[in-house]
Amino acid sequence: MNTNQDLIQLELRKFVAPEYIFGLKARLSAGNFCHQLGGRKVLIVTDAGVLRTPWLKEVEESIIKSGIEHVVFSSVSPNPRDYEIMLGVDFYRENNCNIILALGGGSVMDAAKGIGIVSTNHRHISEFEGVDRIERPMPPLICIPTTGGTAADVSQFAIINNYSKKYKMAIISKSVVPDVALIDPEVLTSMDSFLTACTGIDALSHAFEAYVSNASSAVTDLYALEAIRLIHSNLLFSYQNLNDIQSRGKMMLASLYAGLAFSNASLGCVHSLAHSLGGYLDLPHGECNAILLPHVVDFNFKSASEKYIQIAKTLNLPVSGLNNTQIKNTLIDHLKNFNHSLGIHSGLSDKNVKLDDIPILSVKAIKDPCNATNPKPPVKRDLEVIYSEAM
Amino acid sequence: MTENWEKYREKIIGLGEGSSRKSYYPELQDKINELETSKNNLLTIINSISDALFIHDQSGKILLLNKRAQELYQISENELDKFTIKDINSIKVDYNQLYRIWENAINGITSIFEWTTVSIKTHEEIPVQVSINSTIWNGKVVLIAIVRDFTERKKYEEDLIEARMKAEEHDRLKSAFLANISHEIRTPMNGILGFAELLKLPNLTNDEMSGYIQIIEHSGERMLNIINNLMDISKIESGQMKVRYSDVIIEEQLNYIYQFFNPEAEKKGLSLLKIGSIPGNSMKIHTDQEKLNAILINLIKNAIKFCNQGAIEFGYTVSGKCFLFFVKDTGIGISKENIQNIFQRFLRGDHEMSAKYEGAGLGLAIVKAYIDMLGGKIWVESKKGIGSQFFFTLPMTPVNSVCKE
Repeated sequence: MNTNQDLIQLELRKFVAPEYIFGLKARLSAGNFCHQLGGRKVLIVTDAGVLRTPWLKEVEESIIKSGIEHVVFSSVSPNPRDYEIMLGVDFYRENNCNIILALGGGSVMDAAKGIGIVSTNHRHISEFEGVDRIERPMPPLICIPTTGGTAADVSQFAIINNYSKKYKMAIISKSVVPDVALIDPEVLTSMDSFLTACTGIDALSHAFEAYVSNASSAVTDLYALEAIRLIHSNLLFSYQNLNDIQSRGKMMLASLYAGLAFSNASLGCVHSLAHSLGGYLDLPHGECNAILLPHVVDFNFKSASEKYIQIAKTLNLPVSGLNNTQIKNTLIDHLKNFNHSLGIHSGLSDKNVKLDDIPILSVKAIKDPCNATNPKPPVKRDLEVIYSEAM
Repeated sequence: MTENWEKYREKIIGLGEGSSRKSYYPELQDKINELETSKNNLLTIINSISDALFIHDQSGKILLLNKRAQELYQISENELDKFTIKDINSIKVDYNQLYRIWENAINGITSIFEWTTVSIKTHEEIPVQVSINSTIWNGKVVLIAIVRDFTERKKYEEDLIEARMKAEEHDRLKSAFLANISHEIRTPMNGILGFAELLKLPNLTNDEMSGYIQIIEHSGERMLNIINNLMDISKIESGQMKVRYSDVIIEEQLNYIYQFFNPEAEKKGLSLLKIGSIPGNSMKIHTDQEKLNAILINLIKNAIKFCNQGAIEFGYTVSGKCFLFFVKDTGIGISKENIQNIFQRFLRGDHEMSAKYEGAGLGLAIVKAYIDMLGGKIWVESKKGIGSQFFFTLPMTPVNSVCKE
């Protein structure tokens, strides 16, 4: 006899992941992969932060060694802007590139995806906002993530800032999943402690949202729970020991797991709310997620209580004998304490978010496709409440 | 968007229509089809052109050749490894010149030039016109040679040159003929006028008078002969000469000739011999009697004219369905150089001869034209200083039969 707990997900699900290489020095195989994917001239997309590290030079050398030409486009700001994408496309075309390599964090990788989409589809980037709207495949894309959270290197997401309308456009399509991800823990050592904390919590929120998503599957659940376990047991140590390559490796792996989970199961309200904040107030994505996560758990708990209880167990929280409300509160408290220990602000008001901003933020957030897979389908009012509570 | 979360969820999961992983396959397939179609079209076009086409690299290795090239040089597509472009060049060609042309083509300068090539199998020379260009073929700089067979054209060119030379020669001959004919007409005319003047002198003896008159008569006959010949030639040239057939008893005809010329021959101390003659032989030939007569008269007259001692023999034999006539003399003969020309109109043996022997150079031309009309053939065997033998054939009956040697 099957008990209720033994039942598995039998609804149709799909799992898409790029070819990825995980491990030290993975970045140095960039040239080889550019060659294998038919590269003649590579557009390297990166940003000012990466220009200060040795990583770019190493990657360039690897490409040159493969006998392939390249150009570098580094005009990408955090929360990449639509006009930057269009400039990148012009640069790509002027230089007659045929392959893209992203070296950087989420912003850089999302910008690279945006450039790729426009370069083959020949329309403004804003026309691809939403789900599954890309007609022609973009050029081959290789990602080398330099932060341990976004997992844009394996995901079907590209988040672009609509600069004039001040909101983040979510572009979701299996066709933006990169071709190759070169996941190298070594490059994480260039992150400072704050960025380490923010990106770590970003990965945690990915895992949380993917696990409770109404599009989750047995496969994504595996990855999500393992990501939560790894982050929970390693992020603080990594935050305190920035050059410990083992814990960097574990955080990188956690980010990859969380990425594989959320890319296929998608996200929820944490991300719809955070996208709106990032677009309107240009706030750091990871930090927003960190602040919002406990409040979204509160909002969702009843709709996915079994899953949240499983998360609490994975976090080794003392849940036996507790009722659902008690477990929920234990989990929320734990998350808040975790944030605190990582030096992350407790409320949005600390990030200069005003009460007056909430209606505008909510109007933008309710349109975000991440809401589609939240366990409890939100209405605008719900989002306003979450924002208020997160102040 | 909020009302359609379900729809979006399906697509996020990846179950939407376009929600597959990115794939270049459909576009690549289209491109491949497009390329294959265009390659096939290109090959069809290349194989349809009537010129030979080679694509070869700078070492001469042939990468592609069209159907015409395969035919012209007898190389099949699977033999490309065995031959290079050098194998179709004649040994006569200057390779340095060819290499310069290749270099120019690579630098964007097209050359069109005439060249000599050879067939791979027969080694027969093929004169051609070649146009050389350069392009990139599978990533390599290659040369495209378009080769036009000039064999026919060369032949036409040669024919034209020959025709022009003939026309010039003809023109030259006509001028020479005019000069000669003027002389030939003036000489008897001077004779007539001169001796007519002498006749006016008083106190001429009868002998003197009849001598003068004889000279005037002879000169008149000579002129009439020339004028007749001229008229005949002009009729032949304008195609107005008709053939009138009748049955001719050969023996009678030869007897007539013999009797006609024997006095003249005796006068010159020559013996005229009719050979193989059987009195009363009534063998007949169906031909134009007048022309046969003219032919024999011309040949025997010539023989007497150019023979100063010895004998002149003439006669005929039967050879299959033809009669073979001959006229042999022991005269001055004809040199090797002149033997080919003697049947040409307006031409005589040589200048030395023209000065020594009177004649307009029309006789043998008329003879040949008549024999041609009657379906026969004439030729001559001769040795300078020893004598000449003229042979000609005529069909027994001219219907659909032509006699050649």
